[in-house]
Amino acid sequence: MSVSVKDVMVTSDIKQNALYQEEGEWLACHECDAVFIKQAIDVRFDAYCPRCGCHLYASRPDTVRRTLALSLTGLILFFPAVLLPIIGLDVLGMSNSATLIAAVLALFNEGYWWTSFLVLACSIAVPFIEMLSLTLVLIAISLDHYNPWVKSMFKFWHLLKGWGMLEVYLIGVLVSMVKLLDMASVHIGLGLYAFIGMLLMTLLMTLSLDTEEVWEFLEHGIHAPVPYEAVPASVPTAREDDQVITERYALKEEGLNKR
Amino acid sequence: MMDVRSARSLGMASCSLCHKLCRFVDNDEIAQYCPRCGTRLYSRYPNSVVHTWALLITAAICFLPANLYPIMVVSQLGNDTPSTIFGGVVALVHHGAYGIAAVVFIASLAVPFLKLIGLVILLIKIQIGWHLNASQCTSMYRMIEFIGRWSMLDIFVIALLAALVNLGAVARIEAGPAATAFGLTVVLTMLAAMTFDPRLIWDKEVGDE
Ligand SMILES: [Zn+2]
Ligand SMILES: [Zn+2]
Repeated sequence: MSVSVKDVMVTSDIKQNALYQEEGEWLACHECDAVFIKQAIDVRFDAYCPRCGCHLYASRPDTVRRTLALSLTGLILFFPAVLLPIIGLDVLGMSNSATLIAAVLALFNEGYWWTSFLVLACSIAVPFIEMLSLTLVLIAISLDHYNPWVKSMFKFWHLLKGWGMLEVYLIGVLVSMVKLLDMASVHIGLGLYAFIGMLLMTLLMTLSLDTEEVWEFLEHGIHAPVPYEAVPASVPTAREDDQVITERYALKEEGLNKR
Repeated sequence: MMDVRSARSLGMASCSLCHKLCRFVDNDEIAQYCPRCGTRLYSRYPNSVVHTWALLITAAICFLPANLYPIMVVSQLGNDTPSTIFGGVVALVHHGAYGIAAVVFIASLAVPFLKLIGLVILLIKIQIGWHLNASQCTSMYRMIEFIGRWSMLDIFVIALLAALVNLGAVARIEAGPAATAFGLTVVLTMLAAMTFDPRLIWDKEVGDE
Protein backbone atom coordinates (compact mmCIF):
# COMPACT_ATOMS: atom_id res chain seq x y z
CA MET A 1 0.00 0.00 0.00
CA SER A 2 1.72 3.10 -1.15
CA VAL A 3 0.65 6.51 -0.06
CA SER A 4 1.59 9.25 -2.42
CA VAL A 5 1.53 12.81 -1.25
CA LYS A 6 0.56 15.84 -3.23
CA ASP A 7 0.16 19.48 -2.38
CA VAL A 8 -3.36 20.58 -2.93
CA MET A 9 -3.77 24.27 -3.31
CA VAL A 10 -7.19 24.47 -1.81
CA THR A 11 -7.77 28.15 -2.37
CA SER A 12 -4.88 30.23 -3.44
CA ASP A 13 -5.94 32.69 -6.09
CA ILE A 14 -9.50 33.52 -5.18
CA LYS A 15 -10.20 37.08 -4.17
CA GLN A 16 -11.43 37.93 -0.70
CA ASN A 17 -15.16 37.67 -0.52
CA ALA A 18 -15.72 35.69 -3.66
CA LEU A 19 -14.00 32.84 -1.86
CA TYR A 20 -16.43 32.78 0.99
CA GLN A 21 -19.51 33.04 -1.16
CA GLU A 22 -18.61 29.88 -3.00
CA GLU A 23 -20.57 26.75 -2.23
CA GLY A 24 -18.98 23.81 -0.48
CA GLU A 25 -17.93 22.59 2.93
CA TRP A 26 -15.48 24.84 4.70
CA LEU A 27 -12.66 23.75 6.89
CA ALA A 28 -10.07 25.57 8.92
CA CYS A 29 -6.43 24.64 9.24
CA HIS A 30 -5.93 23.65 12.89
CA GLU A 31 -2.40 25.05 12.98
CA CYS A 32 -2.87 28.46 11.36
CA ASP A 33 -6.68 28.92 11.42
CA ALA A 34 -6.92 29.74 7.70
CA VAL A 35 -10.32 28.90 6.21
CA PHE A 36 -10.57 26.92 2.99
CA ILE A 37 -13.20 25.23 0.92
CA LYS A 38 -12.82 21.50 1.00
CA GLN A 39 -12.00 20.09 -2.40
CA ALA A 40 -12.11 16.59 -3.71
CA ILE A 41 -8.80 14.79 -3.76
CA ASP A 42 -7.94 11.46 -5.32
CA VAL A 43 -7.84 8.33 -3.23
CA ARG A 44 -4.54 7.88 -1.32
CA PHE A 45 -3.76 11.60 -1.62
CA ASP A 46 -3.40 14.10 1.16
CA ALA A 47 -4.39 17.76 1.31
CA TYR A 48 -2.01 20.19 2.97
CA CYS A 49 -2.59 23.75 4.09
CA PRO A 50 -1.20 26.06 1.38
CA ARG A 51 -0.32 28.65 4.02
CA CYS A 52 1.51 26.69 6.72
CA GLY A 53 1.90 23.20 5.26
CA CYS A 54 -0.11 21.44 7.95
CA HIS A 55 -1.78 18.15 7.00
CA LEU A 56 -5.47 18.95 6.54
CA TYR A 57 -7.23 15.82 5.37
CA ALA A 58 -6.63 12.64 3.48
CA SER A 59 -8.48 10.29 1.26
CA ARG A 60 -8.03 6.62 2.06
CA PRO A 61 -9.64 3.74 0.22
CA ASP A 62 -11.88 1.47 2.25
CA THR A 63 -10.62 2.99 5.48
CA VAL A 64 -12.95 1.23 7.92
CA ARG A 65 -12.39 -2.35 6.76
CA ARG A 66 -8.63 -2.00 6.21
CA THR A 67 -7.96 -0.32 9.52
CA LEU A 68 -10.18 -2.82 11.30
CA ALA A 69 -8.19 -5.73 9.84
CA LEU A 70 -4.92 -4.09 10.90
CA SER A 71 -6.05 -3.25 14.41
CA LEU A 72 -7.43 -6.75 14.98
CA THR A 73 -4.09 -8.24 13.86
CA GLY A 74 -2.33 -5.80 16.17
CA LEU A 75 -4.52 -6.85 19.09
CA ILE A 76 -3.74 -10.53 18.47
CA LEU A 77 0.01 -9.78 18.30
CA PHE A 78 -0.20 -7.72 21.48
CA PHE A 79 -0.40 -10.76 23.76
CA PRO A 80 2.73 -12.61 22.58
CA ALA A 81 4.55 -9.26 22.38
CA VAL A 82 3.84 -8.53 26.03
CA LEU A 83 4.10 -12.01 27.51
CA LEU A 84 7.06 -13.54 25.61
CA PRO A 85 10.65 -12.45 26.31
CA ILE A 86 11.96 -9.60 24.15
CA ILE A 87 15.68 -10.13 24.73
CA GLY A 88 17.66 -12.78 26.57
CA LEU A 89 21.08 -12.62 28.19
CA ASP A 90 23.76 -15.25 28.92
CA VAL A 91 26.63 -14.38 31.22
CA LEU A 92 28.97 -16.77 33.08
CA GLY A 93 26.58 -19.68 32.71
CA MET A 94 23.66 -17.68 34.04
CA SER A 95 20.83 -16.60 31.80
CA ASN A 96 18.06 -14.11 32.12
CA SER A 97 15.39 -12.72 29.84
CA ALA A 98 13.12 -9.71 29.93
CA THR A 99 9.54 -9.19 28.80
CA LEU A 100 7.77 -5.85 28.40
CA ILE A 101 6.02 -6.40 31.73
CA ALA A 102 9.29 -7.37 33.46
CA ALA A 103 10.82 -4.06 32.39
CA VAL A 104 7.96 -2.20 34.06
CA LEU A 105 8.13 -4.34 37.20
CA ALA A 106 11.92 -3.94 37.51
CA LEU A 107 11.54 -0.16 37.84
CA PHE A 108 8.54 -0.54 40.15
CA ASN A 109 10.39 -2.90 42.50
CA GLU A 110 13.28 -0.46 42.76
CA GLY A 111 10.87 2.20 43.98
CA TYR A 112 10.67 4.24 40.77
CA TRP A 113 6.89 3.99 40.62
CA TRP A 114 6.42 7.15 38.54
CA THR A 115 8.95 6.10 35.91
CA SER A 116 7.54 2.58 35.85
CA PHE A 117 4.06 4.02 35.32
CA LEU A 118 5.39 6.06 32.41
CA VAL A 119 6.97 3.00 30.81
CA LEU A 120 3.78 0.99 31.41
CA ALA A 121 1.66 3.69 29.79
CA CYS A 122 3.84 4.36 26.75
CA SER A 123 4.83 0.80 25.88
CA ILE A 124 1.87 -1.36 26.96
CA ALA A 125 -1.28 0.43 28.13
CA VAL A 126 -1.67 3.21 25.55
CA PRO A 127 -0.92 1.07 22.46
CA PHE A 128 -3.33 -1.59 23.72
CA ILE A 129 -6.15 0.82 24.60
CA GLU A 130 -5.60 2.67 21.32
CA MET A 131 -5.97 -0.51 19.26
CA LEU A 132 -8.88 -1.78 21.37
CA SER A 133 -10.88 1.46 21.23
CA LEU A 134 -10.28 1.88 17.50
CA THR A 135 -11.31 -1.74 16.88
CA LEU A 136 -14.52 -1.28 18.83
CA VAL A 137 -15.35 1.98 17.03
CA LEU A 138 -14.74 0.44 13.62
CA ILE A 139 -16.75 -2.70 14.48
CA ALA A 140 -19.61 -0.47 15.61
CA ILE A 141 -19.46 1.44 12.32
CA SER A 142 -19.37 -1.75 10.22
CA LEU A 143 -22.37 -3.08 12.12
CA ASP A 144 -24.15 0.25 11.66
CA HIS A 145 -24.61 0.47 15.40
CA TYR A 146 -24.46 3.94 16.86
CA ASN A 147 -24.40 4.74 20.52
CA PRO A 148 -23.11 7.75 22.38
CA TRP A 149 -20.33 5.53 23.75
CA VAL A 150 -18.95 4.92 20.26
CA LYS A 151 -18.28 8.65 19.90
CA SER A 152 -16.83 8.82 23.41
CA MET A 153 -14.52 5.93 22.58
CA PHE A 154 -13.30 7.63 19.42
CA LYS A 155 -12.77 10.83 21.41
CA PHE A 156 -10.77 8.81 23.91
CA TRP A 157 -8.67 7.44 21.06
CA HIS A 158 -7.95 11.01 19.91
CA LEU A 159 -6.81 11.97 23.39
CA LEU A 160 -4.40 9.03 23.68
CA LYS A 161 -2.86 9.65 20.27
CA GLY A 162 0.79 10.58 20.64
CA TRP A 163 1.44 8.72 23.91
CA GLY A 164 1.99 5.28 22.44
CA MET A 165 5.72 4.94 21.71
CA LEU A 166 6.30 1.49 20.27
CA GLU A 167 8.81 2.68 17.66
CA VAL A 168 10.86 4.47 20.30
CA TYR A 169 10.79 1.29 22.39
CA LEU A 170 12.14 -0.75 19.48
CA ILE A 171 15.14 1.59 19.20
CA GLY A 172 15.46 1.26 22.99
CA VAL A 173 15.76 -2.53 22.62
CA LEU A 174 18.49 -2.00 20.03
CA VAL A 175 20.42 0.41 22.26
CA SER A 176 20.24 -1.94 25.27
CA MET A 177 21.54 -4.81 23.15
CA VAL A 178 24.53 -2.73 22.04
CA LYS A 179 25.20 -1.68 25.64
CA LEU A 180 25.26 -5.29 26.82
CA LEU A 181 27.33 -6.72 23.97
CA ASP A 182 30.73 -6.58 25.67
CA MET A 183 29.35 -7.79 28.99
CA ALA A 184 27.40 -10.83 27.90
CA SER A 185 25.97 -12.63 24.91
CA VAL A 186 22.59 -11.27 23.96
CA HIS A 187 19.91 -13.02 21.96
CA ILE A 188 16.58 -11.97 20.55
CA GLY A 189 13.44 -13.45 22.08
CA LEU A 190 10.27 -14.54 20.32
CA GLY A 191 8.41 -11.63 21.84
CA LEU A 192 10.47 -9.16 19.80
CA TYR A 193 9.09 -10.56 16.53
CA ALA A 194 5.53 -10.18 17.79
CA PHE A 195 6.45 -6.70 19.02
CA ILE A 196 7.78 -5.66 15.62
CA GLY A 197 4.61 -7.06 14.03
CA MET A 198 2.45 -5.05 16.40
CA LEU A 199 4.52 -1.93 15.67
CA LEU A 200 4.06 -2.48 11.91
CA MET A 201 0.30 -2.83 12.39
CA THR A 202 0.08 0.46 14.31
CA LEU A 203 2.14 2.24 11.64
CA LEU A 204 -0.04 0.86 8.84
CA MET A 205 -3.12 1.86 10.85
CA THR A 206 -2.03 5.49 10.85
CA LEU A 207 -1.57 5.24 7.08
CA SER A 208 -4.94 3.63 6.37
CA LEU A 209 -7.10 5.55 8.82
CA ASP A 210 -9.05 8.57 7.61
CA THR A 211 -10.31 10.11 10.85
CA GLU A 212 -12.48 12.62 9.02
CA GLU A 213 -14.36 9.83 7.29
CA VAL A 214 -14.83 7.95 10.56
CA TRP A 215 -16.26 11.12 12.10
CA GLU A 216 -18.58 11.49 9.09
CA PHE A 217 -19.79 7.94 9.66
CA LEU A 218 -20.30 8.59 13.37
CA GLU A 219 -22.25 11.74 12.52
CA HIS A 220 -24.37 10.60 9.61
CA GLY A 221 -24.17 6.80 9.45
CA ILE A 222 -22.36 4.57 7.00
CA HIS A 223 -25.16 4.58 4.43
CA ALA A 224 -25.10 8.32 3.92
CA PRO A 225 -23.22 9.32 0.78
CA VAL A 226 -19.69 10.31 1.66
CA PRO A 227 -19.22 13.87 0.50
CA TYR A 228 -16.15 14.87 -1.44
CA GLU A 229 -15.40 11.47 -2.80
CA ALA A 230 -12.90 11.75 -5.61
CA VAL A 231 -14.46 12.41 -8.97
CA PRO A 232 -12.94 10.41 -11.86
CA ALA A 233 -10.57 12.61 -13.81
CA SER A 234 -12.15 11.94 -17.22
CA VAL A 235 -15.87 11.59 -17.40
CA PRO A 236 -16.73 9.21 -20.27
CA THR A 237 -18.67 11.26 -22.81
CA ALA A 238 -19.07 11.06 -26.57
CA ARG A 239 -15.99 12.68 -28.00
CA GLU A 240 -15.63 14.50 -31.31
CA ASP A 241 -13.60 11.66 -32.82
CA ASP A 242 -16.43 9.25 -32.17
CA GLN A 243 -18.86 11.55 -33.95
CA VAL A 244 -16.59 11.84 -36.96
CA ILE A 245 -16.27 8.07 -37.11
CA THR A 246 -20.02 7.51 -36.90
CA GLU A 247 -20.54 10.12 -39.65
CA ARG A 248 -18.06 8.31 -41.89
CA TYR A 249 -19.86 5.05 -41.29
CA ALA A 250 -23.11 6.72 -42.17
CA LEU A 251 -21.60 8.01 -45.44
CA LYS A 252 -20.27 4.55 -46.25
CA GLU A 253 -23.64 3.02 -45.64
CA GLU A 254 -25.24 5.66 -47.85
CA GLY A 255 -22.75 4.83 -50.61
CA LEU A 256 -23.56 1.14 -50.25
CA ASN A 257 -27.22 1.83 -50.50
CA LYS A 258 -26.69 3.88 -53.68
CA ARG A 259 -25.00 0.96 -55.33
CA MET B 1 0.75 36.10 -0.58
CA MET B 2 -2.71 34.82 -1.08
CA ASP B 3 -5.83 36.16 0.52
CA VAL B 4 -6.63 33.97 3.45
CA ARG B 5 -8.91 34.73 6.34
CA SER B 6 -8.83 33.11 9.74
CA ALA B 7 -11.75 31.18 11.13
CA ARG B 8 -11.81 33.57 14.06
CA SER B 9 -12.34 36.62 11.82
CA LEU B 10 -15.25 34.81 10.14
CA GLY B 11 -16.98 33.97 13.43
CA MET B 12 -15.99 30.32 13.44
CA ALA B 13 -13.72 27.99 15.34
CA SER B 14 -12.40 24.55 14.48
CA CYS B 15 -12.87 21.85 17.10
CA SER B 16 -9.59 21.08 18.84
CA LEU B 17 -10.37 17.35 18.89
CA CYS B 18 -12.19 16.41 15.67
CA HIS B 19 -11.29 19.52 13.59
CA LYS B 20 -14.88 20.25 12.57
CA LEU B 21 -15.39 23.89 11.69
CA CYS B 22 -18.23 25.29 13.81
CA ARG B 23 -19.98 28.61 14.22
CA PHE B 24 -18.51 30.35 17.22
CA VAL B 25 -19.31 33.50 19.18
CA ASP B 26 -16.01 34.95 20.37
CA ASN B 27 -16.88 35.20 24.03
CA ASP B 28 -15.23 33.05 26.68
CA GLU B 29 -18.16 33.36 29.05
CA ILE B 30 -20.47 31.45 26.72
CA ALA B 31 -19.60 27.77 26.77
CA GLN B 32 -19.97 26.41 23.24
CA TYR B 33 -19.58 22.77 22.29
CA CYS B 34 -18.73 20.96 19.08
CA PRO B 35 -21.95 19.53 17.61
CA ARG B 36 -20.07 16.50 16.35
CA CYS B 37 -17.98 15.33 19.29
CA GLY B 38 -19.09 17.49 22.22
CA THR B 39 -15.69 18.99 23.01
CA ARG B 40 -15.78 22.55 24.30
CA LEU B 41 -14.88 24.97 21.53
CA TYR B 42 -12.24 27.64 21.82
CA SER B 43 -11.09 30.02 19.14
CA ARG B 44 -7.63 29.79 20.74
CA TYR B 45 -6.73 27.55 23.68
CA PRO B 46 -7.44 29.60 26.83
CA ASN B 47 -4.27 30.92 28.51
CA SER B 48 -2.16 28.91 26.11
CA VAL B 49 0.92 31.10 26.52
CA VAL B 50 0.80 31.10 30.34
CA HIS B 51 0.29 27.34 30.56
CA THR B 52 3.10 26.66 28.11
CA TRP B 53 5.46 28.97 30.03
CA ALA B 54 4.61 27.24 33.34
CA LEU B 55 5.19 23.76 31.91
CA LEU B 56 8.40 24.84 30.18
CA ILE B 57 9.91 26.39 33.30
CA THR B 58 9.09 23.29 35.33
CA ALA B 59 10.59 21.11 32.60
CA ALA B 60 13.76 23.23 32.56
CA ILE B 61 14.08 22.87 36.34
CA CYS B 62 13.69 19.10 36.08
CA PHE B 63 16.23 18.94 33.25
CA LEU B 64 19.05 19.97 35.63
CA PRO B 65 18.85 17.04 38.11
CA ALA B 66 18.13 14.78 35.14
CA ASN B 67 21.61 15.54 33.85
CA LEU B 68 23.51 15.95 37.13
CA TYR B 69 22.39 12.81 38.97
CA PRO B 70 23.20 9.30 37.79
CA ILE B 71 20.49 7.83 35.60
CA MET B 72 21.66 4.27 36.23
CA VAL B 73 23.97 2.40 38.56
CA VAL B 74 25.91 -0.61 37.28
CA SER B 75 27.20 -2.92 40.01
CA GLN B 76 29.64 -5.59 38.87
CA LEU B 77 31.19 -7.93 41.47
CA GLY B 78 30.61 -5.46 44.28
CA ASN B 79 31.74 -2.30 42.45
CA ASP B 80 29.06 0.33 41.97
CA THR B 81 29.59 2.62 38.97
CA PRO B 82 26.92 5.29 38.61
CA SER B 83 26.59 6.93 35.20
CA THR B 84 24.81 10.05 34.05
CA ILE B 85 23.04 10.48 30.69
CA PHE B 86 26.12 12.12 29.22
CA GLY B 87 28.35 9.44 30.76
CA GLY B 88 26.26 6.81 28.96
CA VAL B 89 26.87 8.53 25.63
CA VAL B 90 30.63 8.74 26.33
CA ALA B 91 30.70 5.03 27.23
CA LEU B 92 29.03 4.17 23.93
CA VAL B 93 31.62 6.24 22.04
CA HIS B 94 34.42 4.34 23.85
CA HIS B 95 32.86 1.06 22.73
CA GLY B 96 33.02 2.33 19.16
CA ALA B 97 29.24 2.32 18.74
CA TYR B 98 29.18 5.77 17.19
CA GLY B 99 25.80 5.42 15.50
CA ILE B 100 24.02 4.35 18.66
CA ALA B 101 25.91 7.00 20.64
CA ALA B 102 24.64 9.65 18.24
CA VAL B 103 21.07 8.34 18.54
CA VAL B 104 21.19 8.41 22.34
CA PHE B 105 22.83 11.85 22.36
CA ILE B 106 20.21 13.31 20.04
CA ALA B 107 17.26 11.65 21.79
CA SER B 108 18.15 12.36 25.41
CA LEU B 109 20.25 15.55 25.32
CA ALA B 110 19.76 17.46 22.08
CA VAL B 111 16.00 16.92 21.70
CA PRO B 112 14.87 18.09 25.20
CA PHE B 113 17.24 21.06 25.00
CA LEU B 114 16.16 22.11 21.51
CA LYS B 115 12.52 21.65 22.48
CA LEU B 116 12.92 24.02 25.43
CA ILE B 117 14.75 26.60 23.30
CA GLY B 118 12.33 26.26 20.37
CA LEU B 119 9.21 26.72 22.46
CA VAL B 120 10.75 29.69 24.28
CA ILE B 121 11.48 31.32 20.90
CA LEU B 122 7.87 30.75 19.80
CA LEU B 123 6.49 32.16 23.07
CA ILE B 124 8.68 35.25 22.87
CA LYS B 125 7.71 35.76 19.22
CA ILE B 126 4.05 35.77 20.22
CA GLN B 127 4.47 37.94 23.30
CA ILE B 128 6.64 40.72 21.92
CA GLY B 129 5.61 40.43 18.27
CA TRP B 130 9.05 39.42 17.08
CA HIS B 131 9.14 39.37 13.28
CA LEU B 132 9.94 35.81 12.39
CA ASN B 133 8.71 33.91 9.37
CA ALA B 134 5.41 32.42 10.51
CA SER B 135 5.65 29.50 8.13
CA GLN B 136 9.07 28.53 9.46
CA CYS B 137 7.84 28.93 13.04
CA THR B 138 4.99 26.54 12.34
CA SER B 139 7.41 24.04 10.79
CA MET B 140 9.55 24.29 13.90
CA TYR B 141 6.52 23.73 16.12
CA ARG B 142 5.54 20.68 14.09
CA MET B 143 9.07 19.34 14.42
CA ILE B 144 9.06 19.93 18.19
CA GLU B 145 5.78 18.04 18.50
CA PHE B 146 7.07 15.19 16.39
CA ILE B 147 10.49 14.61 17.97
CA GLY B 148 9.43 15.03 21.62
CA ARG B 149 8.48 11.41 22.11
CA TRP B 150 11.95 10.19 21.11
CA SER B 151 13.37 11.44 24.40
CA MET B 152 11.70 8.51 26.14
CA LEU B 153 14.38 6.29 24.60
CA ASP B 154 16.70 6.45 27.62
CA ILE B 155 13.91 5.60 30.05
CA PHE B 156 13.02 2.50 28.03
CA VAL B 157 16.68 1.45 27.86
CA ILE B 158 17.03 1.71 31.63
CA ALA B 159 13.83 -0.24 32.23
CA LEU B 160 15.03 -3.03 29.92
CA LEU B 161 18.55 -3.12 31.40
CA ALA B 162 17.20 -3.17 34.95
CA ALA B 163 15.00 -6.15 34.07
CA LEU B 164 17.72 -8.01 32.15
CA VAL B 165 20.85 -7.48 34.21
CA ASN B 166 19.60 -8.80 37.51
CA LEU B 167 22.16 -11.51 38.29
CA GLY B 168 22.61 -11.04 42.04
CA ALA B 169 26.20 -10.27 43.10
CA VAL B 170 27.70 -10.84 39.63
CA ALA B 171 26.05 -7.98 37.82
CA ARG B 172 23.15 -5.67 38.48
CA ILE B 173 21.84 -2.54 36.79
CA GLU B 174 19.55 -0.27 38.73
CA ALA B 175 17.87 2.99 37.82
CA GLY B 176 19.22 6.19 39.40
CA PRO B 177 17.40 9.25 40.75
CA ALA B 178 17.83 11.08 37.42
CA ALA B 179 15.37 8.65 35.82
CA THR B 180 12.44 10.28 37.64
CA ALA B 181 13.60 13.79 36.79
CA PHE B 182 14.23 12.85 33.17
CA GLY B 183 10.81 11.20 32.82
CA LEU B 184 9.24 14.37 34.20
CA THR B 185 11.18 16.54 31.74
CA VAL B 186 9.98 14.49 28.79
CA VAL B 187 6.34 14.47 29.88
CA LEU B 188 6.35 18.18 30.76
CA THR B 189 7.89 19.24 27.44
CA MET B 190 5.37 17.05 25.58
CA LEU B 191 2.53 18.67 27.53
CA ALA B 192 4.01 22.12 26.86
CA ALA B 193 3.99 21.42 23.11
CA MET B 194 0.38 20.25 23.39
CA THR B 195 -0.88 23.29 25.31
CA PHE B 196 0.86 25.66 22.91
CA ASP B 197 -1.57 26.94 20.29
CA PRO B 198 0.22 27.26 16.91
CA ARG B 199 -2.59 29.47 15.59
CA LEU B 200 -1.22 32.27 17.79
CA ILE B 201 1.84 32.39 15.51
CA TRP B 202 -0.35 33.52 12.61
CA ASP B 203 -2.61 35.94 14.43
CA LYS B 204 -0.59 39.07 13.71
CA GLU B 205 0.25 38.18 10.13
CA VAL B 206 -0.43 40.65 7.33
CA GLY B 207 -3.49 39.93 5.26
CA ASP B 208 -5.51 38.64 8.17
CA GLU B 209 -7.91 41.16 9.58
ZN1 LIG C 1 -2.38 26.14 7.95
ZN1 LIG D 1 -15.41 18.21 17.61
